[in-house]
Amino acid sequence: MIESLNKSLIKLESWAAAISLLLILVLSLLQIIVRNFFDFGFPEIEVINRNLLVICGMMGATLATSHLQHIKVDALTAFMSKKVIAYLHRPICIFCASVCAALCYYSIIFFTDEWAYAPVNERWTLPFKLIYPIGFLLLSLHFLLSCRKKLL
Amino acid sequence: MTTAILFLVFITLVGAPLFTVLAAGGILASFASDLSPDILVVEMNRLAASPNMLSLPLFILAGVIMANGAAAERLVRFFKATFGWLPAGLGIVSIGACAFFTAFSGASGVTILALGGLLYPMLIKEGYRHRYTAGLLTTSGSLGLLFPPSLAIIIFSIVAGISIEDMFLAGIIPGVLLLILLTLYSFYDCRHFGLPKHTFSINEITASIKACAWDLLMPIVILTGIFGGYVSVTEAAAFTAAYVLFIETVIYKEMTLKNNLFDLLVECSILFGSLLIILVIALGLTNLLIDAQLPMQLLEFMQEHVDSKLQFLLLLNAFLLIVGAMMDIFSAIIVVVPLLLPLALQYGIHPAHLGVIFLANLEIGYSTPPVGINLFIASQRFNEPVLALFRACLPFLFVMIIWLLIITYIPELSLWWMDE
Repeated sequence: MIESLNKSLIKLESWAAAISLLLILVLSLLQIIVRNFFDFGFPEIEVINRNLLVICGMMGATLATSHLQHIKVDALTAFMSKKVIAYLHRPICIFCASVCAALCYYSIIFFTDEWAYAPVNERWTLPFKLIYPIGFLLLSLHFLLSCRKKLL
Repeated sequence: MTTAILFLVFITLVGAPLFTVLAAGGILASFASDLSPDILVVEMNRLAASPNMLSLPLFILAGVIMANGAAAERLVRFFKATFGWLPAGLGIVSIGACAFFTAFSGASGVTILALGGLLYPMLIKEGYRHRYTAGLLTTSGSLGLLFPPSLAIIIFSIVAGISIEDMFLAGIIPGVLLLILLTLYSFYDCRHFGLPKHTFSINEITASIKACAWDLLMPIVILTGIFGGYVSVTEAAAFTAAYVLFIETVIYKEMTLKNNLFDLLVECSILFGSLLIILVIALGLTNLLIDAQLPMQLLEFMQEHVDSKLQFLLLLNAFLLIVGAMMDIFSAIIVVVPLLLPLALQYGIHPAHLGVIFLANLEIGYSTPPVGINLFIASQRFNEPVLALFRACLPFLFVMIIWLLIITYIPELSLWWMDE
């Protein structure tokens, strides 16, 4: 059950990340073409691309969690046995899940503030901002699911 | 507060992802400043919207496509045909090909994996000493760090808030100088190896250029596009990604959109995601630290103890070499640059020159223990102990230290493009 949830999440995140990145590429190319050949541009593309960038980045970060590919400064682990590293894995995952859960909570506050105070002409971009709470929630979930991984 | 900071330092050193530690630090710092921690998300949102950020995933995508295609083989053939006839020719081929490849693929160890596996048996078969080969290929994994469109340069520019175009220009001469110094060292070190001599063949050069003409056009197109004012850095990044995808799928047919595109996009997203999250959270934390006047306190301390620019540069190099040996390049840029930049400005160091010094130090750090990523990847790739590889790297690192001193104390090498 948990394993299939994990797999479904990874699949969903992979598609979201891939589609966002592909859209960024296509829209950027479209912008180059219309600007250079037809002498005009779509200002909305800039806004959409910036929001897609966050979606791609957040989904990429959640995938990095499930692939254990986050950047670390693990200078001490070079001097630790595999057993000690495996022993520390679970507390570290719990710490990370808690931090991401806290960030999810603060992202909800951020989103509600944005919703309350956004100017009318920027309201259409607000649904994109939901990526922050969703992204941090998924990160937290992935760290919790990583607790189950056996490093030895 | 001290206990919390010590705990965060400990958990960092034992392997917690850096972004979670920085986020925890940010939450603590905002509480300490009587601010609501949602300011971190506000900062994240602001920084993710910075115009140059968009170039990052697109250049990463270009690198990922290149690393998964057959560009490595084509480039080696070209460099071999062009420089292989010189004394220590294959050594020079390795230096050139690795620098070219790293500039596009990012110094994430991909060069050692993609090119190291190809060049290592070639060098050994030709009679190059094992120690020279291992040292050369390990240090070559980060050689193109100062050439456009290196990811390290882009991230430094974003963090330091300076123009990416200026940083691209600043890195060119120091980068070329390093290649020349390493080439000279290769001439010197390989003179007694009794290496076979290759003949210069114009036919092979022509054939190799034909085979990789599309790859060789890439830097020319990017540089002309950006510095000719035709495209912005972000547009150049989009063009590069599309161009690399086009040549690998349509021209060389090394991959197909149907079979490979999805995996390439996901691989790129993972690399980008792990960078973006740390970048935005670290910059949010840094802004809190700046609000708390930390750089000013550091500056006051430095002004009390450091009298001259020369003294500062010496200290800077010593400090950055230690940072480079302890942290990977992206974390180092994100964490250290915002604290160093105001100090450097105070001592009259141009941000672009600081960038070159910074990246040069970290380039050296890539091959030094305990965290030198080149050592670990090369150890895995060549099946050698890390310490043996470090010993093999020492002569190359010595050359790089001399290079570092030259580029540190002759700022004109980095700032040649500036108006008087």
